[in-house]
Amino acid sequence: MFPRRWFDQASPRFRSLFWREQVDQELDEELQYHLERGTQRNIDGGMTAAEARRVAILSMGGLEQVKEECRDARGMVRLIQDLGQDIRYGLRLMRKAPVFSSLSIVSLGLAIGAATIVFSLIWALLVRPLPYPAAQELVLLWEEFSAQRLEAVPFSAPEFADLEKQTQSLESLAAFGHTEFNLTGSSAPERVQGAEVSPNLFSLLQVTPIAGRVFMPNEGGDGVRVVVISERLWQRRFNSSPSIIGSQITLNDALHTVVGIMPASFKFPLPFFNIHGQFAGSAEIWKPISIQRAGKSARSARDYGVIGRLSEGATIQQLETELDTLVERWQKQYPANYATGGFGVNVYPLHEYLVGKMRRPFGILLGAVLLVVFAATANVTAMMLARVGVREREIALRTGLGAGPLRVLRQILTESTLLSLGGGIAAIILGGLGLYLFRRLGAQTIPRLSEIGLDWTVALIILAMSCLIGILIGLLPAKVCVKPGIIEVLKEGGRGLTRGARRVRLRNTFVVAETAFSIVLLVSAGSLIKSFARLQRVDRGFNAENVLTMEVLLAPKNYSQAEGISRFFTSAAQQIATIPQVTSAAFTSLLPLSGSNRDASFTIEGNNHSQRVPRPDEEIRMITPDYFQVLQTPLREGRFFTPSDTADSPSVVIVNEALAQRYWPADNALGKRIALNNPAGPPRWRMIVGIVGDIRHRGLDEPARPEFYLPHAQEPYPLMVLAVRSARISSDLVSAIREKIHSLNPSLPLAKVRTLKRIVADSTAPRRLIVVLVGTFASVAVLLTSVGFYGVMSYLVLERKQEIAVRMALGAQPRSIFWLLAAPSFRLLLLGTAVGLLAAACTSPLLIPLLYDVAPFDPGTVLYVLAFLVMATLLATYIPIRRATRADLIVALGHN
Amino acid sequence: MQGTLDLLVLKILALESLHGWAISQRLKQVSGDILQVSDGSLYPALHKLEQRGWIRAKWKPTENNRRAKFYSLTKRGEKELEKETAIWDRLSGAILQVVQLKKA
Repeated sequence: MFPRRWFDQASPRFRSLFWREQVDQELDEELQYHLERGTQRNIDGGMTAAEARRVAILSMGGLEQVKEECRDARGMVRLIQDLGQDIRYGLRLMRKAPVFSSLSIVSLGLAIGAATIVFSLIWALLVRPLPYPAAQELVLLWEEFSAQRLEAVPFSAPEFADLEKQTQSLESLAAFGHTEFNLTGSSAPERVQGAEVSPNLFSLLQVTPIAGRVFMPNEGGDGVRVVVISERLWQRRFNSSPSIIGSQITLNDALHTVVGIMPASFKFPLPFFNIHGQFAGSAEIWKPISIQRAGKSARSARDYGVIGRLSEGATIQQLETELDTLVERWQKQYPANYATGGFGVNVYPLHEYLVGKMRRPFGILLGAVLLVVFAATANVTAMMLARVGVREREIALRTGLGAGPLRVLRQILTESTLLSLGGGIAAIILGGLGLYLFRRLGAQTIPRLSEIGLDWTVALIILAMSCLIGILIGLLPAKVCVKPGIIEVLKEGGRGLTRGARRVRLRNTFVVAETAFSIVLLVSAGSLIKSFARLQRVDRGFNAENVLTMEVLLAPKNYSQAEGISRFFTSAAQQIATIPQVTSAAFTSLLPLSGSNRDASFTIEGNNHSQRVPRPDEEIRMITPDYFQVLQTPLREGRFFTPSDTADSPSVVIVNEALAQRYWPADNALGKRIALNNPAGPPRWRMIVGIVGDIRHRGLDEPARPEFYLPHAQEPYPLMVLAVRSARISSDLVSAIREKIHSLNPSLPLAKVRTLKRIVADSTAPRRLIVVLVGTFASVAVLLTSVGFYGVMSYLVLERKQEIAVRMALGAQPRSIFWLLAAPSFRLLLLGTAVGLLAAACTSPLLIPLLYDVAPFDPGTVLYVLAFLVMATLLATYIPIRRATRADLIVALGHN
Repeated sequence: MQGTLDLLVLKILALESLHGWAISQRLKQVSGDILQVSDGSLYPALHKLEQRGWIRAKWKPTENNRRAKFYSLTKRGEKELEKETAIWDRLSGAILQVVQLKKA
């Protein structure tokens, strides 16, 4: 290994580690010399040569034994050398039993690979620290109106001003709101996500820009046009030009000065700081807001998220007490605003807010993946037990030749650890591949998923876990073969039946356990899949086929007049409807299932609202006339909007069935009048002219909420979503639409071009992720169980080969032999199924939050699952038996 | 007794550098066959002491011109010998006192 000349200088330890053969040779020479001198002396004492040598050896107590003891004296070095030997031997054995090794490695690889994926998800989404310094001091504040089942409601500007003044336990707090910009200029117009933030946000988060500066404390308000941009935008749009600091860019048709660039690692708001589901993408432009100025706006215009940093030593409890006092004061001072029952302000530590919602789904994923790992461990242990059985005589011989029980134990543990390390490496490859697929499939729809990759920490955890599993797998087989007396084994001859029985019992226990694990997983996966399928078939209230959508934002400068906005969208919809393949086109302020929602409070004509009877507050949409034709939402009563519903015609409104049902349960809603709450002027009464079917807006799994629709012409709004129903959807269609819109205004970018079908699919992405994962885990478990049964059967068949041959020679039918052989396997299946069903019945209630319209221990699902498992195990049982019954009689009889 | 052999070997090697056979002969000679040290346990002890770095080995020609492995004490071995001797003195002194106790 190393040059000979280093040998003499090396310390004895290194010598025996690296020049092992030379050291052994020297040991031999040294002892030989001793023997020669001893022999010589004995001869001198009058013995014959042979006698003299024998006595000399005897006086040493056996040459080989002394050598062994000398080697043992090398201590640590000896251990390492043995390990090297064990590894070489283990690898040789693995090569000699390729089926066993590859089955074990694949089993463990699949199971640990599944664990790799789940660990990576948990690591990236839950454990990894948030990208802000001292993030444990950060809290999010949200309002809650529990009577209306509204959580995580943002704050209005006056409310934020109160919060700033009256929370001593917060060192500082900042408001943030969602905004979008049309970025125009030298290159093509582009819609960019942005955030309006309090000027102190960056100092609150303790982050610094990579270039330029952040906002000054007083840099807020309408007159100030400064922005901070993200590194990504800077690279993408401005070629990383250093001169961007201080230069002006056009946002929403107004010039803004870029004062700073935030590093790519800085993300704010994170997607889960959701205000009406608006922060799906990451903000690339930050603009200061002036809450002080905005303080004059309505108390009910709740548009701002609030983040705060706790003062040193302050606790969440202190903050909660302060907030409770504030809530009481608000309720006394502004009864109309907080009259709805169950108003409160909640504090969420940032990390808890992120983790809280994901705990249950991830708990279930973790449980599922652990079951898979258990199943694989049981599987490989069972196979190891079989292997050890085959090698029993070899091991007994090794023990006879001087290997101590510890040495044998170490050898077997090394083998099993080698297998599971192989599995671990396969797992890291498989897991990495799986994560890559994930990122491709779901990155846009699940917060922080795009950040997931194979982390070093996770890889190390996986390798450590593999080693642990390897030791676990080896322990029992090692114990089984270290224990018996050598003589006993050697005497038993080739077929260790009595001792074999114990091993088979152990193996069977593992196969039963595996079956039970698979059943639990299959039942869970089955109910999740059934829920998912039901959800796809639920009546969502619109037809998503062949609808293309995109967002259009009008910059306020050119369209400051309500009339202009309304005229633009009316003519755009008309123009687009003339495209040949388009059947209908309309704009809406919000699309269903897009993740955003917007509500407004209103007054019903004739109702006296007081502190006790709060004003209704429901979902509001602004639409252009053909919207319901595009969505194919059914009209229940009355009429749709028409082009003749204009700013000058009588004010009208359409409500959905849920709203009609809630406010006029016994009466017909048609003809009734409502008015949006407007503290500034007299109520503008709008008559209900139509009732439409309910649309599931917040999620396929949430029942439709009351909604009302206003004609866009009577309530203009600058950010609208285009929805186009067309014979088919192609890129030609997109360019035709772009052309039509640009003919009206060439500087308008089209954003978020998606089909409605895609939006629906994205809305169920987290659920789909869990279904796919648990489904995959269950399939892996079934595969492992089949392998387990296959192994049991193969072993059984091998053992009874002669018996089978004799029976067949005497005329037994293959069928009767099949039943004879399969019976034990069926007993195992039955036992495993019983245990598994019991376990599934106990654990399935955990799934309830993830199920939709399916009972946790759904009988139909259970039946399917059983049928599936029985088929798989039957197949695994059948194959080895068939092979045996077909085997050549003579060969079989000659076996052994 | 545990460690006694080590002490004897160290002491013998402190006087001169010797090979295995010679050490075994010297052991028999000095202890007058009272301490029955089997040759079987001598070599593992030598190898252990070498691993620990208390003695070092060198191949040298012997008196009858054969090659043999000669052991000698290292600096660390000398210190160790001092320490062990002190311990031994205390221990044997204590034992001596106990065994020489007379009936009061």
